[in-house]
Amino acid sequence: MLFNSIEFLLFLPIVFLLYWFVFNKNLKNQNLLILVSSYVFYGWWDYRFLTLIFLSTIVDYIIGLNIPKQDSEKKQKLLLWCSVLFNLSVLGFFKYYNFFVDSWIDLFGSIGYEIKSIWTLNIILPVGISFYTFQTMSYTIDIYRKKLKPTKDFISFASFVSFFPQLVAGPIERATNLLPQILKKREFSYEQGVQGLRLILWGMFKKVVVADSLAPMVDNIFSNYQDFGGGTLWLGAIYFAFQIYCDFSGYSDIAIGTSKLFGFELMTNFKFPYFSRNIGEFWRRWHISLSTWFRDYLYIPLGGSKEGKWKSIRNIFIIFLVSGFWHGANWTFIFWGLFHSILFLPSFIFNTNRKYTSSIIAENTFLPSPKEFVQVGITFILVTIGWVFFRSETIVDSFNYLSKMFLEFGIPQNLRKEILFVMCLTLLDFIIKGNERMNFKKSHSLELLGSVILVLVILFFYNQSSSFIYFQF
Amino acid sequence: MNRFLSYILKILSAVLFSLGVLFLLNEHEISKLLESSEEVNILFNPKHQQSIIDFKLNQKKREISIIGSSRTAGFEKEMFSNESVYNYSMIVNSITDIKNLIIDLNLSKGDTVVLGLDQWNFNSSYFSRLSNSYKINNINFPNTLLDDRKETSDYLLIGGKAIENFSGFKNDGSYFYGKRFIVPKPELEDYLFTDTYSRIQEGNRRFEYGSKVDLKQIKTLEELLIYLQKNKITLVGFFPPFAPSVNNKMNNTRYEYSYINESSKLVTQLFHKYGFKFSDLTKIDLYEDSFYLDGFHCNRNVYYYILKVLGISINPNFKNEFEISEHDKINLNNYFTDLDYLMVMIKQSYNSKD
Repeated sequence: MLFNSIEFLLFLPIVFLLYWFVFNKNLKNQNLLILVSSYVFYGWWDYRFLTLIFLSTIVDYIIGLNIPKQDSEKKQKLLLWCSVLFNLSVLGFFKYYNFFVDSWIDLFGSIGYEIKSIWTLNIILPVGISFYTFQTMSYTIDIYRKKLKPTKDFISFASFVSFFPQLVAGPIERATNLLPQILKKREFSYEQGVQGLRLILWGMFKKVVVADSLAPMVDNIFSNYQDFGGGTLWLGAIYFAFQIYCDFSGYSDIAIGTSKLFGFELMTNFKFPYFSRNIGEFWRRWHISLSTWFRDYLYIPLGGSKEGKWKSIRNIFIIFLVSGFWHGANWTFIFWGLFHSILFLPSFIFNTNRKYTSSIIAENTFLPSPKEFVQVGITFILVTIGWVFFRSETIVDSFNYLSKMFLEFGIPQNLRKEILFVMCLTLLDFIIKGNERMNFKKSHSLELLGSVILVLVILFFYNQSSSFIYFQF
Repeated sequence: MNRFLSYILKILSAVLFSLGVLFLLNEHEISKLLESSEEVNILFNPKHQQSIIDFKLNQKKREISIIGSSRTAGFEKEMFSNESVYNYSMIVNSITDIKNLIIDLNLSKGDTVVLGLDQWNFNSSYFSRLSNSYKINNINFPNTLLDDRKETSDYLLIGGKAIENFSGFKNDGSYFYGKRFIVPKPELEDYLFTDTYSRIQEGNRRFEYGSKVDLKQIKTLEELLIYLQKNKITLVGFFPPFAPSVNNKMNNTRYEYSYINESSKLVTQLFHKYGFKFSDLTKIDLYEDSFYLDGFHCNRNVYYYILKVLGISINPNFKNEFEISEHDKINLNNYFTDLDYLMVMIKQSYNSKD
């Protein structure tokens, strides 16, 4: 089920009313409702893949319960590896099997051995598989690390794995954050509910109005890049930067907002990333739930930055490459990760990557300073160049696109309408910067008026057929 | 919780109320317009594209629907032997638009669609082929409220451009160019097709060079043909003509327009596959440049001829006068004489106050 569908518009109020008015007296029943609703939500796309979520839930539930029962560290580790291998095998088969087969065939082909592709299978990629497998892995890893006690309550655990607001495109929740909330009785809060609604509307605006308006132009430019000059290709890349930001952060906002309606607080996923002053800051603001996941469960176990410069550099390369590969089985994503690791490395070497960890541009001023302006501009351009790898169909296309961008510059064709969307979003983001939860105080009537206008604008732009980009990951 | 529910109720009520008000206003405006168009001659030329879409979509369904860009806008109801004709031109841009419009029209079995397909919509180098201009007025915003109106003895003029130029959509949906028919030719923007030639020389504004056909457009077109075949709707398609000298210029080896021939082949094959007739009328030898309003818009004489070529039953009594009918010419002259007279009077009274 898509957030921007009529089905969801009916589904959400029904679940909300049942949750707070029918099942509110008993926590178990409330959690059971979350579980059933989440399975309905997911099964709406393809009910056959519910078995995969269910299997993943059972395996990690049993392993989670058994890890603390083991009398030796070695046995605990063995169980943890069983969980990790199971999850990665499921992910690997559905997401990466064909990629590896095709890459081997290409490799042999390049040295003169033609192999018939009998191993390539027609595999459907289950929606959200990368998100929920990472979520369940965090559960068993945290139990192994003794950061979390396993739950015996299967319904609550299954609700954690399949929690519908963030099941298919995140934020990737940690068991340490979400599971305790599921196990505890929730109370409805007016402020939380209003914030939730604001976030849902804001997310819908970003998705329906901005991302969907930019999508046709981006698709056109990237699929026919050979026919356009460098100026148009630059615009195409910039439009994609905003399309993916609005599409993905819009989804996260709707997910966080929807969770608030049920009394849950999910982790932040985006913090105005295009106002970053360097690449380090960008990665602290972009897809935070994934980058912190890799930091906590990959980078730090590899030694992080504590085992000398060379090992740290190796670790940085690893997490960026793995992060790229997580997005999809294509060399374009791997190069995207590699590109970002190269961008990140200088600031790491010169110890500037931890700059700007808590502040945001123009924090106490009306406008950013000229220095901030230049820093944000440079970071945005670099990130936009990276998006070319991310969006291109093949790695050859991405290099051709980039070479035309830089070597065949020309005045772009008439694309004024799209620029308006970009400017409008940038301005609105700048106004609310630093407050991604939208918990600002507004007068009641102004709030009401704003919400009504937003709903009307969303309805005006509404296009039933559009999906979210991150569903494919 | 009660406070929250009342907050949601307030938002919902305000949204529903706003939608209701907009709906009523729009309905009222549209029905007033439709009533007027049944009683008097109108020239409808509103500020907003959405008003044209709303106005045309709300028309009574007819047996023959003409669909296309401004290059099909000149087909008049009087040209057809069947009187149940409406011209839906100028509310679509892309092939997707055309498909969506035809589906929304909900045509009946046995109805006919006369479809003009702009050649450039198949050129993979032409950007705007993907810009959709046809859109349902989701929130019923009453755009026409903002348009001025003026009544003359013969016509109701709606919209600033209708009043200024005596141009706009007539009751049958066809477009009347108005003032441009009485303006001395050298004053027109594309006199001797200089503007079209410059488009060709620079390869821009719909005349982008291209050798590659955008197969996605062919696929979208195929979806439309499947829909029409399934619903037993007759389709007659064509590529609208360019003026002869424009065709000659485009055929110069300096300019790459091979996508036109390529797309013509593909589209013809596709139409035949689904049992429909398609004619590539990019080049019509019978009519010289003077039969064209500009480099790529023909006049009513050519439109009438196109119907014959397409095998559509035409009205044998149609008075095929050059460019415009004598009746329209008289109306135009009267209107601008009156308007000039009015302007002189206003100026005189303004000066006397000084």
